[in-house]
Amino acid sequence: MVITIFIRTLILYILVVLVMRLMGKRQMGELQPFELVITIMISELAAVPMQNTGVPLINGIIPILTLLFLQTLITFGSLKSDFIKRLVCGSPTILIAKGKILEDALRKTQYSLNDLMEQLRIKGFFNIHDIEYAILETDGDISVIPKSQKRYVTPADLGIPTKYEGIPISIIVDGKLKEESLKYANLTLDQVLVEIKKRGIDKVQDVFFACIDPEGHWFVQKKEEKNK
Amino acid sequence: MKVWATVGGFLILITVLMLISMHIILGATAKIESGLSDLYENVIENNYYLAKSNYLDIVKKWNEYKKSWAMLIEHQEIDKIDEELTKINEYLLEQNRVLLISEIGLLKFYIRHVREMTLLKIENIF
Repeated sequence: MVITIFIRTLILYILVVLVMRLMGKRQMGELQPFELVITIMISELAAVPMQNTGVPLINGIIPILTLLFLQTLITFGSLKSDFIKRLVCGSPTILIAKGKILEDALRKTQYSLNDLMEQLRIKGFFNIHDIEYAILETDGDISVIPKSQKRYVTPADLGIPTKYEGIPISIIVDGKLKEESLKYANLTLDQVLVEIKKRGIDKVQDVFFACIDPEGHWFVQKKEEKNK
Repeated sequence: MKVWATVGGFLILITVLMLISMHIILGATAKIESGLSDLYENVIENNYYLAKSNYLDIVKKWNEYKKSWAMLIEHQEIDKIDEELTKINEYLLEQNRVLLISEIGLLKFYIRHVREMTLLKIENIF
C-alpha cells in the first residue's frame, strides 16, 4: 500500500510538473482567471488518485491532460482573436482617468476605494493627486501612470547621454562552467582561466560565481573552503 | 500548425483510449453475463454440478478481466464483484437455491452497472 501510494505520487508529480511546464511560463507568475481555475483543478485532480488507491490512475491523468489541452486551445485562441481574449481574460478597466476616480468603473469591477488606495501605495504612490491614470489589468494588477510632473526623472529628461547597457552573463556557477554562456559572451576557456588566476584561483571548480558585464568587467568569487 | 497537431493528437488519443476501454469492458461484461445466465438456469433446474462448472468458468474469466478493469474503473466496483462471487461460491456449496438466485441477480446488476457506466451516454455525462 505504502509503495503503491509512493509510485502513484511519483507518477502524478512528474505529470503535473510536465503539464505546468507545457502550460508556459505565465502559469507560474501572474495568472489570468481561467489559468487560476485550471491550476486549482489540476492540483485537486492530482491529489485524489494520489492518496486513494481505489481510483484508477487514468481517472486523474485523463482530466489533467484534458485541462492542458483546453488551456493550450484557449491560449492559442486568445492569441489569435481579440474576441476570445476578451471573453476569457476580460479587458483592462480604467479606474482613474485624467486624475479623476471613476466611480462606475470601481462599482463594475467590485473594487473598493480602500483596495485602490492600498494598491496605489504598494506601487509607491501615496498621494492620489499625483496620478493621471490607473488601470486595473486583466490579471488583477494595477498599472499606474503618474502626472508628468510627478514621475521619476529619467536621463532623457535631463539630456544626459547614456551608454548601451546589456546584461551581465554568468560564466561559472557553483564550480561549473556554463558552455552556452561562454559562447554567448564570445569567450574561450583560456580567457576565463586567466581571469580567475588573476584573482588567485587555479581551477574553475574552486569558483563559486563568476560573471562578466557588457563592459568586460569581471566579478569572481571564490568558493568557501567547506563548500568545496 | 503545432497547435492543430496537438489538438488532433489529443482528440485521437482520447478516442483511441475510449474505444479500447469500451472494447475491454463491453467484451468482458457480455461474456460474464452470458456465464451468469447459464449459472442461473442450472441453479433453477437444481443442477448444481453444472452450476459449479459455470461458476468456475466465470471466476477464471473474471480473474483475467479484472487486471485490465483495475486500470479503467473504480476498484470499489471490482471489490463488489469479488464479494458477490465469493458469496455465490458459498451458496453453491450449501446448494441454497433462494440465496443463489438473489446473489446471481445482484452480480448481474453490478456487471450491467459497470457496462452502463462505460458507455458514452448523456446520463453519464451529466
